[in-house]
Amino acid sequence: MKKALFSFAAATAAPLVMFGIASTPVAGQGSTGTIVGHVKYMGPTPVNPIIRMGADPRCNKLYVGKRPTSEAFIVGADGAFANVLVNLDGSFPATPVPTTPVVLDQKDCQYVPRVLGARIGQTLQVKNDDPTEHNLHSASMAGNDFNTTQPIKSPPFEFKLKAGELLHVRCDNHTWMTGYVGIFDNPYFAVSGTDGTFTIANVPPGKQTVKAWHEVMGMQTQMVDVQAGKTTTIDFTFAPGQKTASVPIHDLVVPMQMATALTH
Amino acid sequence: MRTYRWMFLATFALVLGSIASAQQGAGSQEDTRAAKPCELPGAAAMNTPATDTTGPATMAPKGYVKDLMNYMMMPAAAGVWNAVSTSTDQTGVHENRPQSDDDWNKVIASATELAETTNLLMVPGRRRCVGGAIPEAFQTDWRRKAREVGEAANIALIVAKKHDADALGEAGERIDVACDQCHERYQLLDDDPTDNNNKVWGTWKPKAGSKAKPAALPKAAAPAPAKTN
Repeated sequence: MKKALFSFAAATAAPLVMFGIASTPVAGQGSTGTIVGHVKYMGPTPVNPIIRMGADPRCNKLYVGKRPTSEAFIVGADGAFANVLVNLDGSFPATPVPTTPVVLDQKDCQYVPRVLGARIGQTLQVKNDDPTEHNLHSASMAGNDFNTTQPIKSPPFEFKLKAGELLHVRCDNHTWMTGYVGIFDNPYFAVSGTDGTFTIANVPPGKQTVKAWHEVMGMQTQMVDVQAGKTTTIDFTFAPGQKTASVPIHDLVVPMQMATALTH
Repeated sequence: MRTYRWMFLATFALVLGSIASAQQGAGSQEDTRAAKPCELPGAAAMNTPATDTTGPATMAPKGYVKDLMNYMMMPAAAGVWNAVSTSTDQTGVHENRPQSDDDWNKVIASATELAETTNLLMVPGRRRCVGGAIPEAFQTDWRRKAREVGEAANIALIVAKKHDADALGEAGERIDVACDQCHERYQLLDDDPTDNNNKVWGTWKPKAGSKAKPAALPKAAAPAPAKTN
């Protein structure tokens, strides 16, 4: 299930697109290389749906005079595409799992960051920095199951990630809240920033399969040739109507009494 | 061969599922008709059936404000909001607007339900699940806020009958603002005293030691100036 997750979709539907690949020498990297990339969105500016938080006055109060929207699409003026999860697919030598947790924050009644990567065996720490109660609920297909209430000012919830998958996290109290944790058995992953860039360091040399996934736009795959001591650049471009692969994500059926129901 | 056929079907199903999921997430409002009702007891049943000469001759509220919100107002408002929206999926950006007469009739139904439900909020004796009935001193303000939502919904109804999608979008925004303004004063939460600060408490009481204060009583209307001849 672990490694097969991303491989499955790529093998069945994704066309391999290769472009924008170049290598430049980098000093002091020894026997590994670095992949530096940029993700771009091309096409009409995507529109994120409005979130109406009136059901929870505590969330609503955080946005007085503003109109909160989903953050599914974060696209810069130059097309820089954020929150795209990039990872290498394949078998790699074992490396130590970080002892520091990956942190997912519940802030302003949304998940921050919306997309993040983690290692199998690493601790996922979820904080509640909101003035309201959240209910953290994972939709796991691989044993990363949790469903827990986090009252206001409660200590962070911690969960040791057990298996590789693209984990969908939601809040039963606020159905607009959605986040994704890519869980991998290797350290070769990154999430594109608001400038669209990402870096994957210490990559074993040789031909590598690089996958880029966005929650709406799907997944693209490219091959790169990583050389020891060098930086390889790679660009991904997502555009409407493009053929991409889907990744199986388990969705939740949220109990309605916990959803957007009004309370008074 | 059979294995490949299964793989193809599975992939096709996943792609369809992914697209459906993305579209669902784009601007749709949740259906609150399955929400948990107010747990307080409902209105008492009449001892005998009403006849021409017996039984109540006035409006008699049965549900709580919470239940009216979840079962009538939220679904109706969603019918207006979702009618004009913008969404993005794998195929691009989509402007969603009512297209057919059937589409417009559904919007008209939603706007009608929303506008008329605001009248139900004003029925004397209507209670909130938390905080009980609106105190007499705030009744005028409560009715005014309910009317604001009702008038915004009525604008949605008028423009829906004209099949004017742009105006419907604007009416949806006005509905949203009117809802928020009412919630800011009258929507109480049972577990968080600070959030109920400056709201109309009714029967709700803060925990001991809380510094929260209820909304100040509305200023009395200024007396009409004396007539001079």
